[in-house]
Amino acid sequence: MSTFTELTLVLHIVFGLMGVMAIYSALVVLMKDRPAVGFLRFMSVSGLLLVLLSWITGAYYYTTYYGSAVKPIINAGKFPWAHALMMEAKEHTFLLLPFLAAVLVFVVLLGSTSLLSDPRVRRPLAALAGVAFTLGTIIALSGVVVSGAVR
Amino acid sequence: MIDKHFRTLYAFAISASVTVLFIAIITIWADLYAPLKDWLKAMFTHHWIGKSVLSAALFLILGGVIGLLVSKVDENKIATALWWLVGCSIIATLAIWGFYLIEAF
Amino acid sequence: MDWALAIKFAHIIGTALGVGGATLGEVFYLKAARDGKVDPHENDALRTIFYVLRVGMALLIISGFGYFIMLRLEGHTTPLLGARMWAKLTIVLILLFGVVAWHTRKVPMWLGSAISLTSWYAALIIGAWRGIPGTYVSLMLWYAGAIVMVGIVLLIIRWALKVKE
Repeated sequence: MSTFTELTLVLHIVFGLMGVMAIYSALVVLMKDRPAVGFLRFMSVSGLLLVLLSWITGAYYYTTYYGSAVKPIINAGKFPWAHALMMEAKEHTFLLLPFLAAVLVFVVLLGSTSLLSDPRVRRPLAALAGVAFTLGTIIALSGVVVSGAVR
Repeated sequence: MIDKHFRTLYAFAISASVTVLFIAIITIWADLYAPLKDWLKAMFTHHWIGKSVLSAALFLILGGVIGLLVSKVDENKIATALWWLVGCSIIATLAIWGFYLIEAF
Repeated sequence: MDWALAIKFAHIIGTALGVGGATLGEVFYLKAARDGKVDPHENDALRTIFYVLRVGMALLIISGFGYFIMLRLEGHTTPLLGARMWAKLTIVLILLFGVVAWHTRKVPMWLGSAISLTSWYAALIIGAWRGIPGTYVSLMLWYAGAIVMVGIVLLIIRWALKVKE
């Protein structure tokens, strides 16, 4: 792996991890009856930006290196399902994340404090953050499995 | 209460619901129908980049169109749209994982 | 100092803050709850402790993924599918989702405390005990058993201290 490809892999993981952590922080804030709006906005925007950066760096690594260099190793090894299931499902589940994060950002940025405290809106927004966090976690853990199958 | 931003929030929540379902559909369809995957690769250099670009375009365009067409959005409509997005995301995720689970084993 | 050492330090510090935070949090909570109410001063102390615990958790997760990246880049990928790794990942997930469950009032305080304390100490033990025997399932069964034991001990302590909740 070239140094630049290594860097994109590292950045993909780091950005993705930080993005999921930011979304988790937004989720925990949304669970309060009166969310701290400033912190919520910061974490939501950070989450979206980090997910977008993870998308870009992951796209580079996946399209230029993974298919030709990593996938054949996994398919020839003891855990071919790591690609057939985990990687395939992971790469497509990831595509949902930016849109979930974007809607979260739209609502927390454009919505007033009273809207964000209104349980009618706060609860589904928390559920949305919860789904985004859960998907992010599944994606991250799938990445660990895929990497573990590279032997 | 009607707020000037409510239409935007509602529009993009609905757009995101359609987009996540689109992602699941095109993922499964492209894997089952080779010409679609080939077309995505030819147009966008890689099928996954094609799905990314089409999804982003759908989200933005549909969100804009719905935002222009919709009127009188209140908190209840926003809440409903957000719950729809939660549901559609779960369905899309289960569809993707279920499909690849069957394919892999 | 190289990356490996920096990641190790961060991981140990994160664990220390988390274990310490969970332990002190429980001790302070029991002390505060003896009279049936948590006054503002006690609440402030608890909030500070839980803030430190969250910092520890964040450090632990970031450094944990630092280990993962290091193993991947060095080609030592066998541990990534190992029982120890996945037991720790599962425990961290239980802690994270536990916070959400606690906020939605789906988990009573005594059970939340048992899960939190057991999880942090289990993560510490599994992390420190390099050659810990057992499969993922057996480690999780031990962990579940430990939660039950810690839960019983905490209930006894709460009864003995006459904690009112």
